[in-house]
Amino acid sequence: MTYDRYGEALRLLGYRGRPGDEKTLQLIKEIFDELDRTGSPVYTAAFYGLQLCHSGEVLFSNGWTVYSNALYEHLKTCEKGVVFAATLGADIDRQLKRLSLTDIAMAAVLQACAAVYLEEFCDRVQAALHEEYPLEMSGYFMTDRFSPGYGDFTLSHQKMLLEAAAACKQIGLTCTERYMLTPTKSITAVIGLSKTNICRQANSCEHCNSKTCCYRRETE
Amino acid sequence: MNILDVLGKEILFFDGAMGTMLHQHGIKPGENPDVWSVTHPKTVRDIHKAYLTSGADILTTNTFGCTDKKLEGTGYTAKEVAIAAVQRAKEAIQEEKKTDCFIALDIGPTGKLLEPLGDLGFEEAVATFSQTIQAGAKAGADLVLIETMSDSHELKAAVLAAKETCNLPVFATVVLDKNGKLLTGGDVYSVVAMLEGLHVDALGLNCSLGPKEMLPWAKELIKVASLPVVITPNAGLPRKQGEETVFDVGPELFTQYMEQIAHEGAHVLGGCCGTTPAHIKAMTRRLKGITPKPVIDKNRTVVSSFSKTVSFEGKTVLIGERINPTGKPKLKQALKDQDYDYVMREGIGQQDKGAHVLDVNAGLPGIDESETLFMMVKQLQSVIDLPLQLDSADGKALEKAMRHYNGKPMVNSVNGKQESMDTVFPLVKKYGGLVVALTLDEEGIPETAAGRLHIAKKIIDCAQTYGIQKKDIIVDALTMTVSAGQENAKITLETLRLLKKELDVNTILGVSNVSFGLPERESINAGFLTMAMVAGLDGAIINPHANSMMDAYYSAQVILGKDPQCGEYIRHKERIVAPKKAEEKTAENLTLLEAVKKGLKQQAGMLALQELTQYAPLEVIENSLIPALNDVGNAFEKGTLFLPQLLMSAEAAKAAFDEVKKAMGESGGQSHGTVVIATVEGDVHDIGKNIVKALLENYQFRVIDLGKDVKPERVLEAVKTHDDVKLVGLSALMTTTVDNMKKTITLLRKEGPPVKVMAGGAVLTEEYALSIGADWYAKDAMASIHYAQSVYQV
Repeated sequence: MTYDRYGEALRLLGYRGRPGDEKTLQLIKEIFDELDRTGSPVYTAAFYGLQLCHSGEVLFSNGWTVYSNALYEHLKTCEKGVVFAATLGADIDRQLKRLSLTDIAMAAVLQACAAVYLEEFCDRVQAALHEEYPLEMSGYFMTDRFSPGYGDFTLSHQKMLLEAAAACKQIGLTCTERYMLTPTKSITAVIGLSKTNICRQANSCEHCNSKTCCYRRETE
Repeated sequence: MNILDVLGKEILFFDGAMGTMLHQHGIKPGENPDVWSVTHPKTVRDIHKAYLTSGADILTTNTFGCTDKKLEGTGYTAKEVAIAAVQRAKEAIQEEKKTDCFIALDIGPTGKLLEPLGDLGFEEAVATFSQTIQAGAKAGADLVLIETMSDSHELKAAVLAAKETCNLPVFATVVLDKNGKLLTGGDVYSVVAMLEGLHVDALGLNCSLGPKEMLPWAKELIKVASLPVVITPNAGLPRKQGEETVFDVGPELFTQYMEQIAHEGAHVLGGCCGTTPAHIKAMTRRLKGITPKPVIDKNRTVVSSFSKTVSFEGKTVLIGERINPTGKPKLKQALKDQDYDYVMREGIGQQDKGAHVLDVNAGLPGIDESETLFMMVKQLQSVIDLPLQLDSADGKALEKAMRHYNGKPMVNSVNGKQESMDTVFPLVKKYGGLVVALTLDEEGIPETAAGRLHIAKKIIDCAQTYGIQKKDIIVDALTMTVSAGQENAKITLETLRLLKKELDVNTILGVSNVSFGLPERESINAGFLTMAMVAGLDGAIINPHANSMMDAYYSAQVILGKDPQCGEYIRHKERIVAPKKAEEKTAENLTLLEAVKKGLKQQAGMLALQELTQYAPLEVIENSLIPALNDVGNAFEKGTLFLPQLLMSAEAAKAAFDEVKKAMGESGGQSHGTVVIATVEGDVHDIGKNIVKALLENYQFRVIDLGKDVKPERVLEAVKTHDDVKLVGLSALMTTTVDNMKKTITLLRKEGPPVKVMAGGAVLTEEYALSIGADWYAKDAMASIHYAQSVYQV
């Protein structure tokens, strides 16, 4: 299946696999063009050794322990992990608020397109990790990104991941008291590194248990 | 010795990285470095000593993250750590027997984003910084170094904290990305404008970039700064090696670049991440003793927002006058209702028309001016990047707005009365600003140009006694109504000429006053604006929606040679012509009903006007708008039409409703009832709530939108103060905030009048919504409309 950013945006706008109408597609195109032209996403990544001794316990090499079965399952067989954080920056938040006042349709479309654009950026960064960090990555296979909020890897882990990636200092990414990332168009994640080729995509839409979710990616 | 005695006269050297050195001494990633001042005193002292022997003049304390919040769980308070850190630096200086070294109390960012982007309140940030600064100053620091700031608002909070808690000199540096931008959008120009307004003692750049990458931005900064400049880059760009972060620029190369930076005109040099005593040693060996370029006042008149800087050099600045309730019943009502959406839309409209600065005035009897002006500024700055002109005759209101304003504002106004100067100038000195000076005093408004010039002189002289320079004064020559005295406009123009010739000061006018009482006022206004620009007008307060004014402005700019290649004039004309063309091709064979269904905003507005020539407003609503909205709503629910289309139709319907309401006049805008909506406390994602709001308004409900991150008490208060509220809508996106939804509902049930509550948001389910006490689970935007209609029996 080839990747289709328009399809992804439509999915987030609730189209559930239906084709987009001309006006919406035009709006999506305009917004993607603008994001491609002016977007300045940034990321930071930090490498840690991992120990997975007891079920549901993931020990990072700086001494931090995360208790999460979901993360444990995701990282099983991994010796190392990349703590990853990325953001589109504060301006998108301002634009979203401004558009909410002047053109709510455009605000909704920007919301969706920005999410797609951020995922694309993260995919690109992840694909380039081997090139960027040849030393750390050599001989390792990667799992997908696994983010707080998934399974029992609770949102409260945002704080720890931000610190582990020095995200505030490196890219200005912070979180609120209730662990929401600010700026809002941002991601934190752990990527597992394993010597054995594992195809672990627990974070993806198709593997989610919410079968009736209106954003669910329709598969053939 | 005070550092200010030598600052700018000789090159001073900061030390290098603390974190990098602690790392070499075995600190683990994730371990709190600041507590090492207490737990590993010798290590920290030895690092300071290594920098001293390398030639550093200024030691930076190990307090980058020294806040109670960041120290949580370490067993130490910010106060304890700050005192210990200063002590370690003092010991190092004593042990090395240095006499001419300084201790900079290091203040880094809080690690939280300020409101409205994040959830840290401005005063909370000031208080956090104050705690550390107070302790560090008392312990014997010689200056405060605020550094690695990536948000201008947080930077301002830190500077104010320093100014309010101690008398130490303040240095402030920010972190730029490779494009020269701060995370929240600022650049060197906006940073210089704000920091110079706040009267720091030195300013500059640190971290993130290596010296090579920082060089171009350092040059830009030096070009515009009128204060000593501090440059402390990393030892190159960080690179991962194994689990380590390494920096590639060694001491020799670092020094080469720093030499260039010194020659460009920097006055204080040092190193950030990755730099070591070896870097500082190489640098001081080569550069110590060279004479820096003198600090020159660039004499720039500028104002700024968090990201944009407007300079009063070269062209007349347009200040939009529309956000002022005088004579504007709708804005008056909006301010009484605390409807800041109206204010923000008014601001966005003026920006789209080409305003460079927006005047903001909350002078309306019967409201709390201070709170209202503050809220207007806060809300405007959440969506508009133009600098604002804070407009009030009330010192308290001005102070609150100036304090929280993100950037360097225009301040409207001071006048020649001693009382006014004594009120306003201390505020300008403390918070920064370009202040409008009205040429009137205790005797009233002089009838001659010479009289007004005299007052201008008096104001400028008095400002100087407060440490405010002429460049931060913009004199209002006062526009008097020409219909009340034939000579009035001539006197104003003559005053402008005199102000330029005798004082070489910036000038401003509220242009529109000239035509009061005359028909077709814009003709007079446009003519007067052109003549005033010829006479040397630097700032024009006008209505940017008046096309003839904008025509006059852009034309005069061209004729006065202030519009290179006539570019602005051409863009202005394109802006006006383009929408007209779009309008022309509308409307053929299209009905209003179809235009709304197709989501054609412009056409819907025009077609509504057409229909209103034939039908009564209510008929237009009943026959076209309601059926169109119903059709679209039904199609959305059937899944044959989707959210963007639903919302485009909503926008089109809104454009039509706006025209219909205008036609209805006073009786227009009867709503079905009032709905209070909010995104609950802790939640900062509000797009869903905003969509529901847009649709509710479309369906003729009055919406009181409390915004995002709303405390339960505020929801309760809104329901209590508006007695016609029967329905409250709450949204939450994340699992971590759903419990606040429950708290809000519980509070409403316990202490509020009987209201229905609908709840929505990505993580909610019907079962869950009902279990936390909601009356209705709004699965999507249309579901909330139907429920509102049923509650209000529409």
